[in-house]
Amino acid sequence: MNGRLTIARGRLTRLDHGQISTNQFVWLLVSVITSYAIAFVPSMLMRITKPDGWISIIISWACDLALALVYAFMGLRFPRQSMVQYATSALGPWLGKPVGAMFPLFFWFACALLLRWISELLVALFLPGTPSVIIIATMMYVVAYGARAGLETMARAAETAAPLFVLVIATILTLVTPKLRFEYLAPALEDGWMPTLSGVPLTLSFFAICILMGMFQPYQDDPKRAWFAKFTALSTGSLIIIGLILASMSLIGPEPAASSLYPDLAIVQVVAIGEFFERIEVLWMAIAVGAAVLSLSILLWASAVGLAQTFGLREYQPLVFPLAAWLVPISLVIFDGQVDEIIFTRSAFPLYALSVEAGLEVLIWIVALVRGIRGEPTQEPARRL
Amino acid sequence: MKTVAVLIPYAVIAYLEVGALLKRKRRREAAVSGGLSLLGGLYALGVYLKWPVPNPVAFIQALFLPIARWVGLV
Repeated sequence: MNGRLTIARGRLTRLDHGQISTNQFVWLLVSVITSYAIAFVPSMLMRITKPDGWISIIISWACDLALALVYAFMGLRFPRQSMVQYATSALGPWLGKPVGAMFPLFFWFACALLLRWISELLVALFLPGTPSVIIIATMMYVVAYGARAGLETMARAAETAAPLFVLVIATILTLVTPKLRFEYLAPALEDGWMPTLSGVPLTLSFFAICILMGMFQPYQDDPKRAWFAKFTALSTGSLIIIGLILASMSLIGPEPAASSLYPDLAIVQVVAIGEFFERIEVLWMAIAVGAAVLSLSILLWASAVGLAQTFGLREYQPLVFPLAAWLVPISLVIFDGQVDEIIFTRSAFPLYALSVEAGLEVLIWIVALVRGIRGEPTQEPARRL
Repeated sequence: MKTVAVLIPYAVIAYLEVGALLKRKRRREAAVSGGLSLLGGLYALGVYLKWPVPNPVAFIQALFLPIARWVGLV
């Protein structure tokens, strides 16, 4: 620390003129966590940890909240700046621009992963024979339309849809509870702590996609409540994943659940009320697709805004459709099959994701503290929605 | 004919976006948007014609798989 206080000045254009409330912030993050929770975490985690997945989730929850403290702190230290912008402020243009660009590239890649997963789900279970490119291209059009409409529009959509997702999942878990056999979950930690701890990087890498909070915070009407919003969203998401893991393990047993590609679907298939309300897989699909479309819009918006900030553009909208169109061939070729996808998601992805989500942010944080750099205090009044 | 069809969406996006931006004299935005459309179109064409297009997953795996093996994730 040299005790010198430097005020980072520069071109700090807010590319999106929307503003979101803390409540909307929470539901935006809940949508993202719900979609990744349904898509990747339960099936991948159960392969590693068997019945002890819930312990991995609790540890990841605590680690992610600690990481969120850094993002919340940086968001307040650099008011009205996203992490892409304060990377340049803290590290200087030569190092800051490439480091800042890693964030939008990561969001863009996360989009490709989720897009690939949802197309595989639809083709395998609901639309057999349909070419993946049709599903992906159609979905990307809707996603790009949403992202181009702006953060405020997506926030309002999330505020309406995400509570429904949570409600439907909670209802399904409640209905399936009488059929659960909790003896499948015993004994806990049978193979020691190692399998449980090796599940933490995987879970944490998906939870930490909520570093999106670093992109939302400049648009939040009360940025001081960003950590609280993240805490609420992450706790809701964690409870959903714990519920799904415990339910699928207790319903079909640890081994079949761990070897299933879509263990959540096994839960939905047994839900029946009387003899008239059953086969509600379509409801499940509606949640999975709805949450995925919303998350993809949010991630695409974040990557377009981040890229526009990297290049110093005055608007992000012209980048949305080109980025979305490029995602179509990318998501078609990234994996040769589901085995490749499982290997990648378990091995290289957690390290890549955590190096961006935690590594780069902690680097920026330390450099900003050591160099005593902070953002220019804003006089911009918060507009209540 | 199919090769042209693959490029049509990218050409339409580039025409609409870049055209609108140039009318408003936003040259930098037009260059970035047009560049992304061009790269996306070339990538799609490469996938269709089975060129060895760069795969981000292969790149990330080459970078992080040795570390994943070393820390015992694989």
